[in-house]
Parts: sequence; structure tokens; C-alpha cells
Amino acid sequence: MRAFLSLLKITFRNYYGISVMKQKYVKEKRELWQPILAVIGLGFGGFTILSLYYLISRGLYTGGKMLGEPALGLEYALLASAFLIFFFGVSSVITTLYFTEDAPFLVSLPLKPFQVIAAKFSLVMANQYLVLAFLLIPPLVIFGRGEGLGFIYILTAVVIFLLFPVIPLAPAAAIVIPLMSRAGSKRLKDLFTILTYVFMIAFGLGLQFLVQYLPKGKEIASLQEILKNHGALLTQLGRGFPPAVWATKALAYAGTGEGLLSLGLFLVLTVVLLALMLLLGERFFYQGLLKGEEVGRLRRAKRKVGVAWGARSPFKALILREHRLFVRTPVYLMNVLPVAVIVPVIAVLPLITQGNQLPVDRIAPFLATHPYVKLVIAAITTFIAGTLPLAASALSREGRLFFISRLIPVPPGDQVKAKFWYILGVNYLCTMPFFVLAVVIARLGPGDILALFILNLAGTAAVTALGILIDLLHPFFDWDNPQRAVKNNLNVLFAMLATLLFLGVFTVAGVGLALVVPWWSGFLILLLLIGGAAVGLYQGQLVLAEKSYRSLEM
Amino acid sequence: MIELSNLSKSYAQGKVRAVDNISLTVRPGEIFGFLGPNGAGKTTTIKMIVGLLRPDAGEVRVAGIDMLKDPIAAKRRIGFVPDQPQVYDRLTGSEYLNFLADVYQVPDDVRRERIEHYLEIFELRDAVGDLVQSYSHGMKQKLVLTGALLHNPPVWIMDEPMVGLDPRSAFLLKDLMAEHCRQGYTVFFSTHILEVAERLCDRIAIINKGRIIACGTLEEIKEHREKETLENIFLELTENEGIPVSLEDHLS
Ligand SMILES: Nc1ncnc2c1ncn2[C@@H]1O[C@H](COP(=O)(O)OP(=O)(O)OP(=O)(O)O)[C@@H](O)[C@H]1O
Ligand SMILES: [Mg+2]
Repeated sequence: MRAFLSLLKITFRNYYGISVMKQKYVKEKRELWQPILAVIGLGFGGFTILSLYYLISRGLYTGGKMLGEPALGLEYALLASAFLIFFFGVSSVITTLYFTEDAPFLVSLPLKPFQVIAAKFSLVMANQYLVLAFLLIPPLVIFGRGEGLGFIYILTAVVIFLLFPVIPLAPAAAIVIPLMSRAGSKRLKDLFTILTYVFMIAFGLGLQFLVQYLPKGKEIASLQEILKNHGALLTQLGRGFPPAVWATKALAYAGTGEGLLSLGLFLVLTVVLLALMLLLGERFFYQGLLKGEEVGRLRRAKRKVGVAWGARSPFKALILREHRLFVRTPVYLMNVLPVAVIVPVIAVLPLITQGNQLPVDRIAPFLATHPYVKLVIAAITTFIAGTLPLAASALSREGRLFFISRLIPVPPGDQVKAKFWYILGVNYLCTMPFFVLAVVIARLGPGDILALFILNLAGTAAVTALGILIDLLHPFFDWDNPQRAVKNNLNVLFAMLATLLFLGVFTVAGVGLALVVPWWSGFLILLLLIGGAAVGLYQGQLVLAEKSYRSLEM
Repeated sequence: MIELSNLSKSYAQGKVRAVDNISLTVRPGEIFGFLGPNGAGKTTTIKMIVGLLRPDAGEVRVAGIDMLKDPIAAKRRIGFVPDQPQVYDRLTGSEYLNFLADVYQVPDDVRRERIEHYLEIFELRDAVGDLVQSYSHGMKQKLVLTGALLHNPPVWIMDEPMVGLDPRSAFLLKDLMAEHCRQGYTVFFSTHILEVAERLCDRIAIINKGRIIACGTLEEIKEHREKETLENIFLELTENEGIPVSLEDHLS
């Protein structure tokens, strides 16, 4: 147990860079403005969104109460949390288990594989608590106070809160561990990562299928009846994820037999999944880890001898470097591609599930009379681009090898230019799935499509330059595995907040224009404004590059 | 070829004076050895010469160009080998070399010839198509060396370049260094191997606690000292004030 606790401590310390932070902020008192700004930024952004969310939660609670189902809002929140953990946590489980660089070190320690898994899984769990706190605490408090529930409710709530990430995440670990033990090469490792996603989705669908044939209790049925009428997506997921229903009932009927029964179901499933994961881990984990270490050697034998030596311009060489380092680092891919796919899915699922009253057919006529609403499409695509972590880690991702960029005789401005154009390309491509889907559903004409296409480009360019600008101001080089370069990088968060601010400003501008000028002239003005912002930010990053590259020391 | 004047650098907001008012000149055709105990300031000095660190005070000129005023032009004339062979793990050896040749704008035919030449002598030809991830320490070091020499820079600056090289490669490197200087170019390198410094270097500087405590040819340094070997001189000069007896006296 002592060994495990030590392992747990070092895992957390290493991941969050606690020792480095202590040295920097407490001992040397260097760059104290950094954590202060982070706290202020997070506090401010968090407070705004949290107050909004609190209001929505209250609305849901009151609405549910009027329908005679006060726990409705709580179930929404639990479902949404499970859904978010599922999609964003699964990649985290896979990378933390298989794509960090401490594997050879851990294997050399006298520890059992299941202990290493437990430590790493705890880390992934801990990473979910921030989002979970944000999503769950407001509805939990509202419900508890509204219904006047006491101690047992609080206890149940704490237990459910702490254990909640297990059910969506442990199956991913249980799937990926045996799979990876068969991976003999790097390529297979990447392939199995994707396979894990496929299995997880199959697992979700299978659960959903199963639950339809389960005898339903009266309460579950009535809850689902209501869900069915009030949100097609959540109905789907509610059926596909019964643990959320159990958790809801455990909370709503805390202290009664029914509540205990639901809590029991929830706990049993949690424990079973954890045990399954640890058992499989004990049996298979190190096999996959150690095989992964042998990567390049297997490929060597098959290499052909001749190598092409061809000259490119420095600019092309820089773009190629960006590209290769991006596509060959699975962690980076996994932080980018799911966003491009998930957002369209979230947006479209409610429209295509059966039994909904969402008026797909009425969208086109509505847009004809309210043309400015089309801008929502560009706003969402810009938001997608702004949440992708590539721009805000443009420099940070170079890590300790940044010295190479400082050594080569290419002006910093040119280097940043290469980064910008490459990242713009990736970001723009990532906005495309949603963009295409949106224009198809809204049945836009070619003129509108072209207009939004260009506006989207301007917006994406602006937030890309904004992200790079933020990273140039204060890059984070101190990481030892690439996961941290994007996940522990405050710049990514700052860029997200800055994107929200950017969108806020232009939403106000758009609404203002809608009130005074007709659509096409309003659109042109907006395009000019956003295009101007993009050009300004682009120039800004080039100017800043010259300064940053020179002053950044390592 | 390299001129350092009144160079200073401190870390941790002035608390650690890593380099303290150093002045040095390395002439064309010279192999210059830079010696000193661990933590003396060798790497710090070298990083300032190649433009990775900004000096707190002082000037660096490489091949007559001020590093602070025209860094791009100065960097073109430098081939730098850092103290640890850090390379992009996810590129293959040939991708890495091609990248460097591209950014240093080495023409097509020249690069082909030079790369093939170095791959041949460092015996990297078979590995160059593999991901750097799979290289051994010494292989990485040789790859870095090849990359640093690709653009045929007049000034070589190397931080402990022999570390991790097998005897054959170390021998070849020393040969390359001598050949480079015969062409009237310059090599500046740090090392802990005193025999190498003794046999290879035209001049030597010894740095301790950020200050140059001896500088000149081996003969100049040995002059007016009763100690015979460079090792003894090094031990005497870098002896800590806190320890009254030198290791040698203690042993005898
Ligand atoms: N990044 C840094 N931050 C703080 N102090 C540093 C840093 N790099 C070096 N130092 C300090 O500067 C001094 C000189 O270090 P330097 O690396 O130049 O020594 P060195 O002569 O290269 O030693 P070695 O022979 O071990 O390579 C040391 O006291 C070291 O602790
Ligand atoms: Mg050193």
C-alpha cells in the first residue's frame, strides 16, 4: 500500500509538474503573474459561464417540478457529464496508459501492473473532476435545496460524484489493455487506438439495445416518457446509459429503499468494471507497454537502402516539419480529430432521432426571412477552430527541442508564418465536417455557401493567429511527454477564452448590423471587420515572433 | 573567428553567476579547447556563442559578425553540437538531415555528396531511414554531428562532442576537426578528456566558477608552474578554496 501511495504521488507530481511549479513560484517567486492571471482568467470566465449554467439548471429544475418530475434537470446533467467524460476521457485513458514516456521507468519498478494501472486511472479520474464539478454541483445543490434533502442526500451525492467517471472510462481501459497487448508495432498501436473507439461505441449501442428489453420500473418508464418528449438526444442517451438513471434515482430517493437499490446497482457496476479493468491490467498491461518500446527496430529490417535527398525551400521544409511532428504524435491527433467529428454528431443527433418535433423542414424558410441567423454556422465553426489546441501550443509543442528552431538561420517571422499556414489548414479542415452538415441541413444556396465559406476562413484565420499569439507570449516548454504540451497548457485555455471574447464582440456587431442594414451589406461589413481582425492578428504574431524567439531562453 | 568580450551571464535573477566577465579570441586555423569542472560555465558560454542564450553583458562575434546584431548571418557560419544529442524523435534520420539542409539552404548536389560522405564515415547509412526513436545514444550523437556539418560552416562549436562515441568514431571526429583547421577554419570545443585537449588543441582555456583562470598554448600554461602535466595543473587551478589539501597530497 505504501508503495502504491508513493506511486500515486509521483504520478500526480510528474503530470502536473508540481515540483517545477513549487521551485518556480514558491522558492524563486519567478513569473508569479502567471498563476495569478490564470486564476483571474479562469475565475472570470468560469464565473460568467457558471452563473449562466446555474440559471439554466434552475430553469430545468422548476420546469421539471411543474411536470411532476423534479429530478429531470439532475438527470440531464448526469447524462451530459457521462457523455462528455465518455468522449473526452477515453482518449485520455488511452494516452495516459500507452502514450506517455514513463513506461520503461515504471516497468523497472518492483510494482504490480494493476497498481500502475490504478495510479494512472486515478490520474485520469482526477482530470475529470474539474469538469464534473462544474456540470454537477449546481444541479445537485439546486435539487437538494429545492427538495429540502439532508445528510443522506449529501453523502450519496459525494459518493456518486467521486465514482461517476468510472463507468464511462473503465470499459475503455478494459478494452484497450488486451488489444494493446497484441500490438507489436507502432502502427498497430495507433490502429488499436481507433479500434478502441469503435468498440466503445459498439459497447454503448449494445447497452442501449439491451436496456430496451429490460423490464422497466415505473419510475424509469415515467422519467423516460418525459425525456422522450423533451429532448431527443438525451432520450437516446438516457436509454443508452442506464447508470445515469440509477444515479438520478439514488439521489432523488436518497434514504428510501428504492434509492438504496439504485445506489446499489450503481456501485455494483462501478466495482465490477474497476475489478475487470484491474484484472485485465494485471494480466496484459505490461505486454503492450513493453512491445511498444520496440517500435522502430521492427521496421528497420524492411527498409530499402536508397534515400532521397532533395532540396526544398526553407518555408516548405518548416511546413513539412510541422506536418510530420503533428501526424506522427498520436496524442496530438487525438486532441484534434475527435472535436472535428463529435461536434457535428452532437449537433445533428437531435435532428435525426425518431420521435422528435424538431422542424428540419422549417429551417430553410426561417432562414429566408431571418438571413442573419445563418451567421450562427460561421460562429460555431470559428468556435470549433478556437477550441482546437494546435495554435495555442504552436511553440509549446516544440518543447525542449525549441533550441533547434532558435539555432537555424531562418528569421522567427518566417518560422511562425509556416506554423500559421499549416495550423490554419488543419483547423479549417476540422471545421469542415460541421460546416458541410450545417449547409446541407439548412439547405443553403451556392451564394450563401460561398459567403459563409469565406467568412469561416476569416474567422478561423483570426482565432488561429490569436492562439499562436497567446502561445508566443508565454510558451510552455517544460514537458516530458507530448500529452502535457496540449493538456496541461494554460495557453490552450486562454485561447479558448479569447475565442469566446472574440465571438462575443462579433455577435454584438452582427446583432447590431441586423437591426440597421440588409443582409448582404451587413455580411460584407462583418466580413471586412473579421478579415481586418485576422490580418491584424496575423501581423501581430509576426512582430511578436521576432521578439519572443530572441528573448526565450532555455 | 570567435571573439568574446566581457561576456557575463547569471541565472536565477543574478543569484548564480554562471559566466563572469569572460574575454577570449579564437583565431582562424585554431582548435581551441575549453576545460573546466562541472558547473564551471562551459555550456553557458557556448550557448551564448551560438545565440541560444542572451548575455547579460558583453559581445559575441563569430566570423566577424555580431551575434546580437545579425543573428541569422552569424548562425549560418556556425555548426553547433550541443552537450546532449537532442533530435526530433518522430522524424527519420534522413528527414532530419534533409530538414537541416533545407533551412541552411544547402544546394541539392552538394548536400547529397556531403551527407553520403558523413553517413559513410559514421556508419549511419543503414539506420538513416529509421525513426530517430530507435537510435542509440552514440548514433544520435553522430546524426547531430552530421547535421551540424552539412552546411560546411567555418566555425565548429561543440559541447563535449566525444561523449558517447565509440573509439573509432571519436578518432574520426578528431581527424575531421584537424582537417577543418588545416583549411583555415576554427573549432571550439569543451571536453573533460584532458589527453584530447593536450594532443589536439592549439590553445586551451580553463574556466572555473565562471572565470577564465588560464588561457594559452599548453606550453604557456605550463610555464612558471612546477607541475608537469595538464592534469596536475587542472587539479591545482580548480581546487576549491574550502578544501585545503589537494587530492594528490591527500593520497600520498
Ligand atoms: N537553466 C539554468 N538555470 C539555472 N542555473 C543554471 C542553468 N543552467 C546552468 N545553470 C548554472 O550555471 C552554472 C554553470 O553551468 P554550465 O552548464 O554552464 O556548466 P558546465 O561547465 O557546462 O558544466 P558540465 O561540465 O557539468 O557540463 C552552474 O552553477 C549551473 O548550476
Ligand atoms: Mg556542460
